[in-house]
Amino acid sequence: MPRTSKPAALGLCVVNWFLPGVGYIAVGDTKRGVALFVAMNGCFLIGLLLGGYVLPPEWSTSSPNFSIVSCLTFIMQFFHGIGWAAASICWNLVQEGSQSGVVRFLAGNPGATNSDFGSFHLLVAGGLNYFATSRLYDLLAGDPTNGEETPAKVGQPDAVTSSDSDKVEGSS
Amino acid sequence: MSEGMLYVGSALWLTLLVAFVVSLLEDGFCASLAKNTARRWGKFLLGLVILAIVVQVLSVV
Repeated sequence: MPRTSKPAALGLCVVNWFLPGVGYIAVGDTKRGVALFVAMNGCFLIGLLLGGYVLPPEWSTSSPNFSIVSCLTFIMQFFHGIGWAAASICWNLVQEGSQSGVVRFLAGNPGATNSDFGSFHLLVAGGLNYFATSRLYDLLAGDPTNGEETPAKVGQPDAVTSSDSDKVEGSS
Repeated sequence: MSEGMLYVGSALWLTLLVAFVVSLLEDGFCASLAKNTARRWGKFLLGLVILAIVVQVLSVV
């Protein structure tokens, strides 16, 4: 994957946030991008089919309706850019009385039996896209070995396997 | 489908999905992608089993 400047990497991360997987496709990592696109958008779609919804939480801690779980769920769902935006907008449209089938589907159905499972799927899709986007930044402009235990990091630059030592002994 | 089966099915499917995506991000689209995914999935499931045992023990106590 080609290295880029930090502003360009941030721009691609914004693209990948809004359209999961597309940031990877844009830099030429097509297989990985397509696989991520299918995995994350598929997870979001299954969540919507189960009746999952993106509910804008009550942010005021003094409100009786405040729930830290709802706030964190909303934040994680936010990382699936286009899905979060569509579901949030459609939720508001339904509250205003929209009867369109597509709008009602994207808004979710809190009354459905498995809507909690659906909302959890939306949360997982958002969380995965957060990881994918931060990994894209590391590959493009950050530390590409971030999180990996390379021999240099764990202090084993001269690690010799048993098969290697056998070869050395055999050659001498 | 009963709610219990839905719980188990969701746990299996979502942990598999996470293991696959993490393997894809860490290792790329390589020949050992399936093996890496399976290894990570096994670790996640082991963690879930341990968590379930801890929750059961705490709920009894």
